[in-house]
Amino acid sequence: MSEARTGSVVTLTPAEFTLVKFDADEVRDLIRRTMSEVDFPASHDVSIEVDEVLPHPLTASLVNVADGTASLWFTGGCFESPQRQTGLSVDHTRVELGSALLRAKDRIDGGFADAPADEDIDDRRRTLWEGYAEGRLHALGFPVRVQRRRYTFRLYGGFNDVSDAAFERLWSGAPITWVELDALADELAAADTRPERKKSLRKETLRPVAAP
Amino acid sequence: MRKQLPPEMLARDSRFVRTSIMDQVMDPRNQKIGERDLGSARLEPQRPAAADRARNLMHGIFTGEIQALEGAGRTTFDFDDEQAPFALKLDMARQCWDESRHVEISVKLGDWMGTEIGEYSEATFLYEAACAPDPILRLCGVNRALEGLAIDVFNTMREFGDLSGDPVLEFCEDWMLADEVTHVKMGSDWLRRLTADDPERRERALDFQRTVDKLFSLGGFRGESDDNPIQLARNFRSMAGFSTDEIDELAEIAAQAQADAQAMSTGSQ
Repeated sequence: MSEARTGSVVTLTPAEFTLVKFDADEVRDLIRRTMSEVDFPASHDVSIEVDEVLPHPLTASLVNVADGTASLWFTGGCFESPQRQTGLSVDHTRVELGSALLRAKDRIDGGFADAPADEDIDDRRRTLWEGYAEGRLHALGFPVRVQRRRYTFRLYGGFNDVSDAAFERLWSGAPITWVELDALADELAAADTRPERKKSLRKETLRPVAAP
Repeated sequence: MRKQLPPEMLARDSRFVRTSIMDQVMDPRNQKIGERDLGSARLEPQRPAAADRARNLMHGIFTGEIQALEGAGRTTFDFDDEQAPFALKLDMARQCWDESRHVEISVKLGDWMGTEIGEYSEATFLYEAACAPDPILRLCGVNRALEGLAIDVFNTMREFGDLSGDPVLEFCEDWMLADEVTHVKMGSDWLRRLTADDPERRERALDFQRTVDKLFSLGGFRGESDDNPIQLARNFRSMAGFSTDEIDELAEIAAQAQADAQAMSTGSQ
């Protein structure tokens, strides 16, 4: 089926936004544009859900790929302008979409097929993967800020030289697989001298749990 | 030069975008968020979106420092020596020096955390509390209420730096926290000196402080439970001259502000 396809089907939920001033058509255009910019494979459809209840700075996203569809979930805060409450930030939206689409692409054909579901990945590994994604977005000309990503990386990877070296390696965009990233995360954990409570512990999510 | 400068005349360049408290109160998402169980609201590294929440708070500290500088600066100029003793103005001038340094530190911390100046909108209700026509009301509203809030915020950020192992954040916040304690104590001392023979004026000033304290506890922003992002720093407030009764009263004000917000959310459903 994938060989015969000429383009992905894109689904945005909600179809129209009611709590925030996001123009759904503009968001759909940004999704298509970003898919093109990151060369997202046409073999897969893309389903994007935005939880418009959760504002900036409650930013979080989840990416999973199954049955020919990449399913992306975002808090509304990922797309919201920090300057204009409930307003859309095109730059933030492009970066968040780009990062998530690259991680979906990694799962499809980038050596991350063995990666656990996003919900089961700890903060350190998730941060490493996001650093790898944003580094590639930077090379593609997306409006990412290296220091912003570096701070988040240090927060979960450690404020030390080993962590900084790992960040530079990932930010370069040199290809890496899930197995290699997993090993890199272990190296960071070994070099992290913070007491256990200061290391990455959480497995909480902002995503509401679906009713059974 | 004009005296009693209104908030809309504060000088800002094109990077800054102003927001009003009504934007926050009228946000249609508020009641929906209230229905969600998002867990603890404390600012801790292991909480979801910790990096963005910390950056957001740090930028709020930065704009707060600018307004604290502007407020203290106005107090050195807006009153003659009859209304405000020269020694009080000297204290305010010294505070301006502290606030200027805090602005610089906050800019550098923003750089460290990857935030740009003006990235987040600026609310000016801190400066608005510094526009009271009576210098004693200003000292209560700014030095005791808002600088007191700064103690709570800096302590929360200092703990965030400690928990995340970020030596730069922890160190900077600790230094600024020490200054804030002296600013609050300054307000407490001048309140007692200038109202020693005027209990009515003192009560008016303390009423104003309660109003400001309640405003800045809006929606449970500050308090003593897991629902509050900013935790009341009892120990540092005690060092700044707050009595235990005063701290208990503030805790009640914060709890009431949170209850009001929850009632408002429930009532609008």
